[in-house]
Amino acid sequence: MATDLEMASKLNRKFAYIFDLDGVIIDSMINYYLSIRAVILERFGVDPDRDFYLSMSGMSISGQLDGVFERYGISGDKDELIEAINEHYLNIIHTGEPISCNIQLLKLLIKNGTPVAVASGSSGQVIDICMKNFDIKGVSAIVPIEEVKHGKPNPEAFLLAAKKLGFPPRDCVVVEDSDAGAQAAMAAGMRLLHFNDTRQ
Amino acid sequence: MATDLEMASKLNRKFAYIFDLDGVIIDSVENYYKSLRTVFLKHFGIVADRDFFLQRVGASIPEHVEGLLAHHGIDGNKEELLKETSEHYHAIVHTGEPIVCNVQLIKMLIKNGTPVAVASGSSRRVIEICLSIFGIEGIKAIVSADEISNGKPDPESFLLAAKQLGFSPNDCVVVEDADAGAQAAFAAGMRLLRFYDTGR
Repeated sequence: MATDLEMASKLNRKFAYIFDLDGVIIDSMINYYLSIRAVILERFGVDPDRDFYLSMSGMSISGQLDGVFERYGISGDKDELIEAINEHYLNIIHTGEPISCNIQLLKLLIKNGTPVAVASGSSGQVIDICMKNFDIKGVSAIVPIEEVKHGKPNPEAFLLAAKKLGFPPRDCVVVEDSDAGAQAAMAAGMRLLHFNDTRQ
Repeated sequence: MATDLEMASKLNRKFAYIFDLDGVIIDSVENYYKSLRTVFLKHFGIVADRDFFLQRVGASIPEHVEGLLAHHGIDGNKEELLKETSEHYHAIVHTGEPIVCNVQLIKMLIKNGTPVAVASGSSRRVIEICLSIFGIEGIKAIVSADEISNGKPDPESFLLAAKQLGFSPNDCVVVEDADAGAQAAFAAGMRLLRFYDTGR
């Protein structure tokens, strides 16, 4: 029957998945806050407000620094500060908890032959460490912050991930937790699974 | 090493999934509206307010009937309207488009041995028709409008699904698209993947 064939063809359409890292694969928010706080406190004697920091969740460190500069009327060498923040973060990254349900989902998709990318506001080094610590193998593409000009909510990271995977945006499903990331996914014209862990 | 074992145990934690039907598995919004519109036109000679209907996506048919009656300030035989709307919808449900990425996700989870339930404001008959036309086999529990007293945003349907799956709410991941469903998942104390079908 033509309709059965049509349905079968619809149901066999291929999708790729793009996972955010922080808040989806690793619970890293507090560790990033502690790292930014330590560096800003040391350099400027300013103690960034925790709730204010958390409102910038999902943005790159660079974007978060812009927010901190504006709020506290300070400014500095962003590249140097980002390096110091990353160094601090790398010392405590292993204390970040895995978000097991999403890690299992990611592994299952890979096992199933579905192309999976990770697109994150974190550095390539940080992404690699997380993949290793949580035993994630077979990710087809990684888009670290070094490879994008504009962090989320700009769709650049997701569009680059789709390009690397060889899938049009409309055939990509994004797994994201932050508002900035959700906006980026929608701006990219992708389907979105917005992760909320309300039990914390 | 103790830490490796701890990590392995965290990563191997078992989760169950609970999927909403309408807007997650089947794109049914237009068909539900068509059925309500037909019945209200026949009985009252009025066109059911489409924008009002769209604001309440995620509600069950009884809730839609009741809401539209109140919204248009009319009094009718709810039982009769409900019966006719359901009958009309049953006759056209198969014309609803599958939401392919999520249908594939369900099949992959089931194939992997992950327990999956469907919890929906639709009737059991409608749920079974959808699962059948999309070739979804092996769902462990179905919670339909027929089995609960309070629809979403009340957490009753998700809590009943978790109970039938034999999982604590803490170990359930809900896939939902509507506001009411997201609230229900939060109230149930479950993790949520909120679906946005933005990739057209």
